[in-house]
Amino acid sequence: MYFPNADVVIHPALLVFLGLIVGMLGGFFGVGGGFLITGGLLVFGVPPVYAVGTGLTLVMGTSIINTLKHRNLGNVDFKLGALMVTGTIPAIFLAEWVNATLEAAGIAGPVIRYVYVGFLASLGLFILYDFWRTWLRRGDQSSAGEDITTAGLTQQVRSLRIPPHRVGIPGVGGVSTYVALPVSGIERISVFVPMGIGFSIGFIAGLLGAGGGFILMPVLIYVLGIPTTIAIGTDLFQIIITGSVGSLAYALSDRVDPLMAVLMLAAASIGSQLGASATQRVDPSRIRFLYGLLIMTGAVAVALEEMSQAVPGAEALSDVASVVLLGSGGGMCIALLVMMARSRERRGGGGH
Amino acid sequence: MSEFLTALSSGQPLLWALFVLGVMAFAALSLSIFWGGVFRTLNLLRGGRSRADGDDVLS
Repeated sequence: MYFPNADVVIHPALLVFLGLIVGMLGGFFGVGGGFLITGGLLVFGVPPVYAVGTGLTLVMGTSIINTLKHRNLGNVDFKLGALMVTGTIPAIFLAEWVNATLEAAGIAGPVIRYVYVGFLASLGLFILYDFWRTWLRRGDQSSAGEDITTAGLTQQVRSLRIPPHRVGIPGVGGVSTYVALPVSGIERISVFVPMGIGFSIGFIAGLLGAGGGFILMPVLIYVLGIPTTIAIGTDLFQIIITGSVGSLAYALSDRVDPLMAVLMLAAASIGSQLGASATQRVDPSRIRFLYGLLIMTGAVAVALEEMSQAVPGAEALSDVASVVLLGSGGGMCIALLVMMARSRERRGGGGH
Repeated sequence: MSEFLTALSSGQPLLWALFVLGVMAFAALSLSIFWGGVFRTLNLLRGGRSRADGDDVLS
């Protein structure tokens, strides 16, 4: 099939396969899956600029589908999401300015990739460490549920008192800057905490050229102490905004192939139905464990990509990186399907 | 269609960007409604009763 904007011919079955994986993992982990899509499209021979732009456009589409699905399952805290978005949008533009400054200094590429690898590896290691600690603490019980090692930190963050405590709004009068977020199980929190988190995530995401979902999901769980499924749904709502800004920027410079994006979106819409529903069946601690593994694989893939550019004669490592990403994504989907089948069997067995 | 896509993308950047975002948003909403309806109907046929049952496609 010929895709006129990217000027490339790709078998549609490959794009459907990639879309299914992205939709399923996006619905399950609450991530846009930009790194997976870009890696996959590069393997399929799509020019890099179109791979990134089309990837971001697909991220926007899948996030809309996944957010709607999670909303129906009661997993989205729109109030928290809206507060974070007010911090995210200015941060993306600030990050773009920092990016441009680094690029002008000629150090944007290596700096960003080294930060990316370090960030992914640290995040993945922490999530796996947390799973191991909570698993040990629970002894012989197979499920650690919402047990996390950072419970003390989440209490401190929630009880932060940040001035001003009231703001005057014309026509309304004094309004408290503290809100309740019942969907997330937070009785009272300063609005500046989620806004600050949104700003930080937006800045890092803008700097790394990613949607930011892979950072926000663990931050919501380990810093704000939000239940895993709510963190996934709210994270997806936030990605709609970051994905839209990113795809608008790429579309303006004609680096998006909408035909390719729509074809993958159709497949992703089926995968996301399965992925989102699976969050209701799989124990939250296992979701976090699998997420840690996925993030670690991402770190390995970006490191291989960096080596392919830094080491002369190691260009083939770039293809290895993409294959590692796609392979881990596919493997993760199979693991999910197995877990869902077992959950179904247990439910069936319990009914008799 | 190829001519239309390439002409719009090269000649009208802003219109093209809005077209891309619009198409994706429309496709996402349509697909979401379509699959939501399909799974809810399937669930009803299998004896499920509530809307929530239909949203859990694995039920």
